[in-house]
This record gives sequence, C-alpha cells and structure tokens, in this order.
Amino acid sequence: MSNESAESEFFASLYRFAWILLLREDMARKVVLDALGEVHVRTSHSHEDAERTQARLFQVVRQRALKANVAGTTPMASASSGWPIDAEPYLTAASASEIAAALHRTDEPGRSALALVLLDAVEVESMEKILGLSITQLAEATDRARAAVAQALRTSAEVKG
Amino acid sequence: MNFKNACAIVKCLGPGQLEDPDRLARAALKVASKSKEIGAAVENQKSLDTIAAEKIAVAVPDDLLSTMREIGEKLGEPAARSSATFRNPAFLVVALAFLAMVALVVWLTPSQLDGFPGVDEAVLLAEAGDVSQPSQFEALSATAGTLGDWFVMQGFDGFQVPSGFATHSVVGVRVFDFEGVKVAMAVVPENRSFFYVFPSLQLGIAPGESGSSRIVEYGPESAPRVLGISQFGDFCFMVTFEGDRRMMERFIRASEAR
Repeated sequence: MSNESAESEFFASLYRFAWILLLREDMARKVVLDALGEVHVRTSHSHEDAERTQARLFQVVRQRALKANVAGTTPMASASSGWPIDAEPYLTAASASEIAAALHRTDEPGRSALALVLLDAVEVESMEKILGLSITQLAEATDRARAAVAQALRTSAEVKG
Repeated sequence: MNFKNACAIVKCLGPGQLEDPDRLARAALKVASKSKEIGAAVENQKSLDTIAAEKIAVAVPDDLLSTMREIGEKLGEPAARSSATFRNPAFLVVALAFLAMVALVVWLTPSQLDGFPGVDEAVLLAEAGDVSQPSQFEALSATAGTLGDWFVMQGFDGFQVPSGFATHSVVGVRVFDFEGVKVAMAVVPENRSFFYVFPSLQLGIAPGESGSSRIVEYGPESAPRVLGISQFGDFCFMVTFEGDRRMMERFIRASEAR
C-alpha cells in the first residue's frame, strides 16, 4: 500500500463496510482494528500481494461482523430485479443513515455483496473470494439486495407520508 | 466470455468500475452492451448506485484513520526488511545452514508438520465456509456416507468421505464455488463441524496421500478454529470446527475407530 490517498480511501471503505454490517461506530472501529491486527499477524511471515491482502481484510472484517450476530432481517426480494426504475426519488430523499440501515437489514450474502459493490474498493474476482460465491450467485445476491433496499426505502417513505 | 457471465459481472460493478472499467469490466461491458435492454439497465444501475454510494460515504474518524494507516504500513514491512537482510552475505551463510537443517527435519518427520502445498489456500477455503449462512444450505437428515448422489445432482461428482466419517449425521449440505472450483460442504452437528470435499489439484492443495490427516489451527485467538485435512486420490477431505489441535486429533481418532 504505497499511494497515500488510495490507502486512506481503502481504509475508509473498510471502515464503512464494517459500519454497514454492524451499524454501530464503536463496534465497526473495533472490528476493523482487530481485523488489521489479525491480518498483520497472519501475513507477517509471508509476502502477499496488496490485492490479496485487501481482499483478506474485507473477509476478516465480514467474519468478525457476522460473528457479532448482527445479521440482516429484511427478507430478500423474491426476484433478482435490481434497482426498480422508480427508485431514484426514494434514494435521493433518504439520508445516509436511512440507506445504511436499509442495507444493514438486508439478508446475507446480498448485504455484503451490495456494500462491496457500492464501496467499489475491491475487484469483482476479489468479491467472489470474499463471499465464497460464483459470479452468477454474486450478481443475483447483489441485485436482490438492490431491490430489497429500494423496497425498504419506499416503505419507510410511505410510513413518513 | 459468454453473454450470461458478462451480464453477471456488469451487475457487480460499482460506480467507479463503470466509470473507469478495468480489463475484465471492459470486456464484460462490451459483451453485455449487445443488448439494448441491458444497456438501459446498466445506466439505471450506475445512476442509482452512485446516489447510494455517495450517501454511505460517511466520514471516518480522523484518529481511527491514522491508527489504521499505522497498522497498514506494517502490512508491507516484512518483505522490505527481508530483501535488505538477504543482501548480507553473512546472513546468506546462516540462512543456507538453517535451510539445510529445516530440510533434514522435513525429510525425517513430514507427518509432524502443518506445512503442505496449499496450506494457505486450505485455510482460506475453511474461512470462506465458516461464514456460510444457514439459508445457503439445503436442510436434510442423512449420514455423510450417503450424500454422493445428492452432490452429483448438484453438479459435484466424486463426493466421498473416509470410511470412519461415513456414519456422521449431516443436517445441511451445499455446493459452492471457491476460486472457480466446486466445493461440496456438509454441516455435521457433532462438534458443530463442517465437512468439505474438493478436487485437490484444481485448488493446489496437496496434504499428501499418506492417508494421515494434517491439522492446522487458524482463526482469531478469541474464537480459534482448527482444520483436519487428508487426501484420497484426486480429492481432499477436510473437517473444520471451533477448537484446537488436540480436539481435532481426538475427533479424527474417534471417527477412524468407528
């Protein structure tokens, strides 16, 4: 990790990933620091390329977050439809915390998949490895999560009136 | 790259990748854009993903970011330190002598060591399986030795377990892709274990055909896990659960004695 701003951006993405999975800043902070420590210990006797280390960090953060038992609860949309065509007003009107909460409540592995896509921090092949999914499964999970988040935001907007 | 795969890849591209695609993304976009419908869907995805991505880009506390960067810098240190040290001729002599000793030990007691080709890959596979969600498994009630047909129907040909493990009860099964290779996985209530079967060569995991199991401890200190792996023919059989080397040794001994 040589480029300073790229490095900061990567770490920011790692923290945001933990924050989405946990929705608690204190837990997200602990999880990313523990994950960095764990990966440091594990890679200190071997040389890994940066891409693999980055994927491993996301994988460890996810493992630790899932072990914290803060799993999604929103049933995934039954069809893999992606963002509905009329979702833009709900997304635009929603706050950061509302979108994060909608994403947080989405079922795994869609939640992690969509979070990784939106954070744009790792390549598609790395996402497959992090989540243990084939490209077809990854695409389906991501699209279902998009539909589930849109549905949650729509419901929330309707409740607010 | 076929059209179906290209569409799947495109659905997994974030806003930045759609804006500035790498080689794989460019190829996928080229193939997928042959359909006007997909083209419109990609525009919708890009536009709405961008809105969502901008919203969730919350600020990271400064102190946390600097701490992360401090630890992050250490991630690259060992290699740099090693390359400088290796230039020292005195170190080379000592290192060669040490390597000769290690080679002797490896030759004398291979079965006592954790190391085998693909050990890191085996740990990565185990970690990928550890975070499986219950919804990813098909529930059933069977014994491990009777699952061959089920896995064949799921496209995995060659599922078998060492004879001592065949009578273990299984309550869930799945087939998943790991680095493009199909892996069969079963949930075993005893010790809350996972059983895995996968082709050895394709993943470069070769614990050796001696028949004995290699045992590797992994995972965080707070929740240590252990894997036991053995090779039979072209396949590997792996067991994982939360615990340590001694627990795995006991589990394997008890299973083999069944």
